[in-house]
Amino acid sequence: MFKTWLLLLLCPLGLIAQNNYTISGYIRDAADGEELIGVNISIPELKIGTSTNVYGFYSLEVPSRDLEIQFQYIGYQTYTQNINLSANFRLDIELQSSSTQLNEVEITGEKADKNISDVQMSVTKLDVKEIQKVPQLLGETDVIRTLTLLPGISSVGEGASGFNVRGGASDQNLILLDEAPVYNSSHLFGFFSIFNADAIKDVQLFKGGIPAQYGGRLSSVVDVRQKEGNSKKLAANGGLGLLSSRLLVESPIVKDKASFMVAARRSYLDVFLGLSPDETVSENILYFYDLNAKVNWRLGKKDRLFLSGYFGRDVFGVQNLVGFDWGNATSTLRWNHIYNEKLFSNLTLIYSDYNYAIGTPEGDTSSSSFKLTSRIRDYHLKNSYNYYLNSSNKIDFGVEIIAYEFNPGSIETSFRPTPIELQAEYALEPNLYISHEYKHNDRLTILYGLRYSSFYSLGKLNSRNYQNEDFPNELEVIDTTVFDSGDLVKGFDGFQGLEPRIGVNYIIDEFSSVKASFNRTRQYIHLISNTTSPTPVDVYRSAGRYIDPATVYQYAMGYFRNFKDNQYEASIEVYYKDFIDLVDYRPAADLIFTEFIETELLTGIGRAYGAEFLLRKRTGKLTGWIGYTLARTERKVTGPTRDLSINDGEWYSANYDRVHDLSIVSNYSLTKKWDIGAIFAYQTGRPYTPPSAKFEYQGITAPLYEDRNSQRIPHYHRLDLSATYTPESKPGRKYHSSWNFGVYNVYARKNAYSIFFQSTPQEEGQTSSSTSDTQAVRLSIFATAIPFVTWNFNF
Amino acid sequence: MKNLFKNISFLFFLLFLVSCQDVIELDVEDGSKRIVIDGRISDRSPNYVEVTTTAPYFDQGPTNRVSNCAVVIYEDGDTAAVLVPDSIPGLYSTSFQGVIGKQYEISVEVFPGNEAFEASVWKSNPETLKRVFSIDSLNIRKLNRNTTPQTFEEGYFALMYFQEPPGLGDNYRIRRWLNDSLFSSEVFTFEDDFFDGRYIGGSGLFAIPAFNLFGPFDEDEKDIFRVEVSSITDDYSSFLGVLAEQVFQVGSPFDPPPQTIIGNIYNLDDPSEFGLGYFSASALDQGQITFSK
Repeated sequence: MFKTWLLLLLCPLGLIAQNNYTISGYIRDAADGEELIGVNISIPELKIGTSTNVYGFYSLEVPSRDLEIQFQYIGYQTYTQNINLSANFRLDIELQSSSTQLNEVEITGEKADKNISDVQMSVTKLDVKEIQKVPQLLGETDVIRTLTLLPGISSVGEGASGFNVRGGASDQNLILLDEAPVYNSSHLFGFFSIFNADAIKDVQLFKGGIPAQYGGRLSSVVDVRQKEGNSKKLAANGGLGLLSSRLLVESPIVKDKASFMVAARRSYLDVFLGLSPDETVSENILYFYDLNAKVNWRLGKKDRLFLSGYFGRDVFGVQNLVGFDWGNATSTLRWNHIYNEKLFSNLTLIYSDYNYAIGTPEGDTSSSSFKLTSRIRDYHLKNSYNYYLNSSNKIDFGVEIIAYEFNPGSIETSFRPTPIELQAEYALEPNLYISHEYKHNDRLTILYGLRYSSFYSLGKLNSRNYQNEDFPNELEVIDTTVFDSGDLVKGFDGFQGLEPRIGVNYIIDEFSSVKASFNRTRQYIHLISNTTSPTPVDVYRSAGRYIDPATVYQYAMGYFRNFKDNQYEASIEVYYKDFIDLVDYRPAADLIFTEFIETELLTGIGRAYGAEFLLRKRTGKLTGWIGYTLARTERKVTGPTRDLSINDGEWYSANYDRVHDLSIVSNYSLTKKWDIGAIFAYQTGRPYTPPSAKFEYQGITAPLYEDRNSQRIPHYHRLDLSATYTPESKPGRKYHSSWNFGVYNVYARKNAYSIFFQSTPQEEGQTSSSTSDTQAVRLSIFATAIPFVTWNFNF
Repeated sequence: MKNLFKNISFLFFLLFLVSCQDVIELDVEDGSKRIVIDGRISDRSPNYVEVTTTAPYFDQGPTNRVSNCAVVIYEDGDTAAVLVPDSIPGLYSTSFQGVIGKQYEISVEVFPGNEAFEASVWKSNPETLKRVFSIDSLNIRKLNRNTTPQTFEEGYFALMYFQEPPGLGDNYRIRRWLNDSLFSSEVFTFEDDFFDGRYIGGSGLFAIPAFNLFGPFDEDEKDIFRVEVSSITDDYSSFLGVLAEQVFQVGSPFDPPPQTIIGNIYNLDDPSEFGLGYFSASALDQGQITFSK
């Protein structure tokens, strides 16, 4: 029924050819049975092709005659087969990794021109194996930190939590782990990301031309997929590093039918703390851990079931007096079903939870105990379809419903019989999308789609009414409207929910193409944080009566060119973004444990534009990339009065505005045993605000700031080096190990994280004296060279 | 709560031992000179107003004082007191006392020819003088991790006991002196949200422990500790909040963004032109206790 409907809809777009059959199936790694994402499948003679979806499935309609079909994937041997279909045909392929060959010379002629032929632009794919051989802080392979070395992606500074994509704030990134949103992607206040690289199969980041299937955040999508688990044999890998230890075990449950993966990582800084003779140090606790797990079953040829989960936490304690812990938990249940050779569906149930607790330690019965907790939870039901109509037309569509529960805060204290609880907020976010990828001819491909998003803030809620609804003031509360459980507090639907997504690719010749894209994205939940770098105590709040959803329009164009038989990929992309209804903060806004957050907020707009250059080499002895970004990011906040505007309502540079950003990342295979890696990074210093004067008030010397972000901290640069030694394993042994060592910030540059201003500290603490001397101070986070060594093993 | 968090995160950086802070030389552009008014009307006598100016940020030493101004306090719109210049330049005083529930404003006129600042008239927004609680008693007790209240360090601490008056919306400020030396590098304010109408320092189930004001005392010395509690308006409370945040909450990756610290002083001829500082109205209570072992 629905096929007929689709065919009717698409009739004008393509001819429905006769005597065509469909070849479809899964493509997997021959060594461990993992599905491979984004494998190129092509029929060179007809210049048609497709690629595997995120579950490793492909489908291609071909005419009924003698043809050669090719399967190509970077890092794998190309597989070629002759076909002559007389019926629809299921062909599951297992590709051999090219590194398993004895011959170290890369296969030339491997045609990996996906970046030219694919209509998707502004996308970055990270190969975990590739980043494991470049230098990493403390040897901890960090996906997010490595992403920030790519054009268009940056962070406010070393050790800062979150990252910024094309001028977007750090809460504008949709970070998905097996499709579940992760609300805080950082460990240790931002030094490391929560992704244990061992457990990760694939990382894709979309910074523009965001596909219609994704929504809910303005600036980017980071789609992280966990490994499925080796379906061929029992395998394990792990490592010991300075910061943490890791272990991953994967195995078939029933060979080629069901398998599992379980991975764990724990840091042990606290072990070192415990060795200190100083009690004020040794009694402190500080560690994080992650658990990743996944099970999958192949239920016949058409169905596949996955259950995956993540649980991670940071735990912090100060002298048994104050405890602080935070973390994410996600779980995902997925059912892949192949209705027929052309229609693939995925049904997903997701649960995601971020929470923190801060207070006196568990079990403290003293009369001054307290505990502040906060939590955000969401539940998703998602159903998506890929419909491979023919070799020129592919249609994706789906539906998603998200239910949110926000618990901004609750305090339990010994001096109250019941906790003081801020009201919970509830919301529903239903979405629909459809997109159509249409290959007009060999040269022109159009991907156009529409996402329709809506958001409903629901009771139970006691909502205040203010004299000025546009500018809620704590002192101007008229009365309170009571919404009962399930009552609609505020709905956002109608035309504002339409999110068009358009991409065009025009292939100039075999080696080059131009692409353009436009997307409109909406964001209904905001991270309430006014600090330079978000903290674990910042909470998400939803759009509602007084907080509007944010919107962005992004326009991007790019030129893509490959050199030397696709060994080198080069691209130039330019973008422009218009941000509307961004959340900003009133002076001295109290954002933690505030029920009626609307009285602390302002609304602003933003704009960002830039050019990104990337030259990347993915094969051969030397691999890596050179990335350069020239960009500006500005914001504008005009409040009702002067002290509620920023810089008198004029445009000013955002905290994370970096004009120049250069990264060189490389890895060189010296011999079979030795690999060396190097990273060089250079960035314009981010903006800071110098004081224009100082004044004294009641013995306090205060700075007068008038022009926000008008100066820049010194530029940033850094060199990291690493070497990986892989001893030859003994013949017949399955056990391999390697040593990875190196130095972060080799020439020990004291890069400024920030410059701040203060009264010159006085000798004897806090008692008053008339001194009002003032100084500027540079804060450097990693002010020295930091060596690391990690031992990795697998069998 | 942010402060607590900040301290914790700071500890983390100390542990990491790789971060560092260096004093650096910077050229900053000097902004225009502005007037700074620091005044308070209380329900006690005397009351002071201090008039100074801003200085370039890296100028060392105290800022300039503005003498020979006409300083007037208004009560509910009527002239209540004309302040008298003190022997300290730029300081003006009056024996006039405010009354709880009334509204107060100030005007400061700088006359032509004043060396410190251009001729101008400055006014404050009206401030309501609100009620304050009375200190029931002060007490010194030896405290540690197992006592109520609980303390990090073991030693003698000064505690305050008081009844918070029923009715939400009270804001208070505490100032402390040790041997007549004011703790000037702090801004200590709190509101009655979580303990409206409760007794602070009671005993029994759900009791709120006594308010820990100071400690530990140096056991080898005799010390006189003094405390002043004052009522403050919401507006003044948020001014002090901005001030404290901008002055004290610096030096970590989690600093709030720089803000202009604007109080309630404006130019009479051009109300969009702001002066710095604040004119506040407060009811007061004070207490003093002597420590000697």
